[in-house]
Amino acid sequence: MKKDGIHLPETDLQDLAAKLHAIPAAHPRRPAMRRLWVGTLSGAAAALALALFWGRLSFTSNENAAAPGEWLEQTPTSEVVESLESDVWSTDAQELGALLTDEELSDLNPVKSSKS
Amino acid sequence: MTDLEERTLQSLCAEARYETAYRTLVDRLSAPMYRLALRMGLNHDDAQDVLQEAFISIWKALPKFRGESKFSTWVYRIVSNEALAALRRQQRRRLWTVPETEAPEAAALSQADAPFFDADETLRQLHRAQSLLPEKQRLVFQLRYFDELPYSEIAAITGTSEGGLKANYHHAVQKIRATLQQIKPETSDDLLPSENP
Repeated sequence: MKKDGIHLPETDLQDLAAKLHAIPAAHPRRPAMRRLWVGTLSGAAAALALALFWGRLSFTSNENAAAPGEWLEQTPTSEVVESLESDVWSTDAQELGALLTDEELSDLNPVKSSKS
Repeated sequence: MTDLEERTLQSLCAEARYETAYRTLVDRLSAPMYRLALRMGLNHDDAQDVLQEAFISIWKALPKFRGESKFSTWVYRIVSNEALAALRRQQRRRLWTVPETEAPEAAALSQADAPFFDADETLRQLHRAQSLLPEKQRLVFQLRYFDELPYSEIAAITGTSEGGLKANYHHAVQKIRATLQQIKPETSDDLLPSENP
């Protein structure tokens, strides 16, 4: 560096250094954990907003979807049979069974009634 | 700053020891940056304000520093921008208080005759001449002539091409030489022996 003729008194430099060293205390940075929390929470909020928006879109598209009668007409028979044999159907049957008493169930049982 | 100091700062930031890195930057660069701000034509108080603003920015941005340039280049860039902004603020204020024709001369006198300026008459004339340059040209001249930085680093500091910088520096030297020859013909060759890029 060339001589520039600027005389900086030592006290001035010390004062300046003291002021600059005080900056981190005067402008504390958010701790890493807080930054992490803020980041996580804002990310979660954004994801929730997106999910709600997406849910709203899906709901609207379902409303616009074909009515059940139309679906039946448009779906091939094999698919209709498959859906009737699905787990959902059997679960419904189990739930129905749970609502009946044992006696009512045995009354419904054709094998038992033929024996008796 | 030396390569070792640069590497030390890089490792401090990699370990998230930002306060230590910041203190190292202050200890190492506050004096040269203060000197730069004064040479740019700011008085003591304004130069200190510029440095405070610049180092607040540095402290806040330190975790985001991606190491695409040297730390010293980055600090130079921030301080230069702050100094240029302060000079523009001063100019705007001056427009309201001093007639436009007197402004550059007033600035030149206030800089070269300031109490902190402790130089012989030749250097004083050089400061007067360079303070008449446009701000950005003055910055380029400062960084090249006094700080002896390579063009590549000045390009990173000012955000301009090396070709543009060389042209800028050439024009700055020509203007200073012309001013010095008007004042004292024999001094210009002593102070500005070459302007080769």
